[in-house]
Amino acid sequence: MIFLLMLCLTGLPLIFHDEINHLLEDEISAPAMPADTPVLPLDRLIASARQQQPKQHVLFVSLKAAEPLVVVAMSPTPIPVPGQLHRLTVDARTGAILGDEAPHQDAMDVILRIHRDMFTGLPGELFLGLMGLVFAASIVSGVVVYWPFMRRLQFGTVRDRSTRLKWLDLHNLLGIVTVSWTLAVGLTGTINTLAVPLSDLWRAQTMPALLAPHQGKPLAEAKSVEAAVDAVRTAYPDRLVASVTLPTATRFGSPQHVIVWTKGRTPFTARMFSPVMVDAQDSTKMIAPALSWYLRALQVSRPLHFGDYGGLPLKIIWALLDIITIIVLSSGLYLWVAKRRGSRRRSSSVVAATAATVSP
Amino acid sequence: MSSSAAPSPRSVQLSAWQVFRAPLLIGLVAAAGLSFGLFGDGVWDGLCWLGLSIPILLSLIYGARWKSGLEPAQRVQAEARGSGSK
Repeated sequence: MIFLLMLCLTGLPLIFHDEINHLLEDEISAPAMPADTPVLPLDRLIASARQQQPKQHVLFVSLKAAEPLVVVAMSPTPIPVPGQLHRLTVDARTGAILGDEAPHQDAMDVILRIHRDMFTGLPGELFLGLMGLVFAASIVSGVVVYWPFMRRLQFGTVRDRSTRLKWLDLHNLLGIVTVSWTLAVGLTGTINTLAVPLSDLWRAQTMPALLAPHQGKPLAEAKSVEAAVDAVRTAYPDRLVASVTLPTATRFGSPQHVIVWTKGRTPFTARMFSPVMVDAQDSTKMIAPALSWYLRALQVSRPLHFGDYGGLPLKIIWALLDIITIIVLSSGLYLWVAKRRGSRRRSSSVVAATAATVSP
Repeated sequence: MSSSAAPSPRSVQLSAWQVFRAPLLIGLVAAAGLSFGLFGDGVWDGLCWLGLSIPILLSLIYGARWKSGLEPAQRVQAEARGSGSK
């Protein structure tokens, strides 16, 4: 219960994390230039980032859809330490470094860490996933006991004969009208906590076959990132290139491939990222491994948990529903405490009576 | 908690269908709202906002009947104090 309240409370600011970050930080935007200014090849932009941070390893490159900007993520170690990514924003037309964001942790990151894993990494994440399941189970049990409670009442009745009765009716009312949303957010939250194990599972199922021909080779150096991206764009003209992961030994990449992450163009398909693995040495060799159903489920879960798929109005709705859930949780806690106290008082009324005579 | 739902002799028992039809309808509308937003922008977003506003509006309407000028949060505190002294 306490964990669920914590999740609701920390989740509230996270709904608006984009807006809050925009307020707190200066957004880097591309300087105005004629719209048809050609962009430089990606390799040139990566080189420009390397020049700025010669000691760092380039891990991946994200292409901004709205602006001709490219973000190069670098790390001081070949295998990045979480939270240690260095982000360089590069102007795709000039190669100029517009922003060099050192690893830092702001208030929103702290809130996110508490919400996601309480600073304990994967075990904490899975534990909170379990809490999500407990949440779903308590919602289902709440719906089941809704019937005996409401058997003699019209929908929406809030009796005010006693404080407890009022809160009980309100708990039932607010709980029952928000069931769809709380179940959706709770269960998708649980699915999100499985992100790491699920992608590891997928890698274990997919990667060995793809890497078999490269057995024993050292970590490849990408011959040309631009050529890989171009090849993917030609092969999949209906998809947008979102980011490129360079050959790496980390768990999110491949040591022998440039992974080009593509997404669709509609609001829904834009959340369905698909990898295309291009041979680091030969961009004509590419494989698009099919994403498994469980990774698709993970991708659908994300917007349904974050509430970021319907603009600001949806975020406000998300926040209001979150506040209602907080009221339902705290009234549930109150009712539980009141009930326990009530039953204890009844069973130990003699003790209470004697105690009352001693202390006023 | 069962004591608080003590039957009042005059009232009639409702069937499961009568108890659950309103929540079921609300649940379906909200679930439709949740999924419409994923289908597209524009009209779909509008339907999404509409569907998900229903639970909030109902909470406000039915909650307001009971609230007597106090905010829920203050009420909790007031009542926590009240129940402590009872």
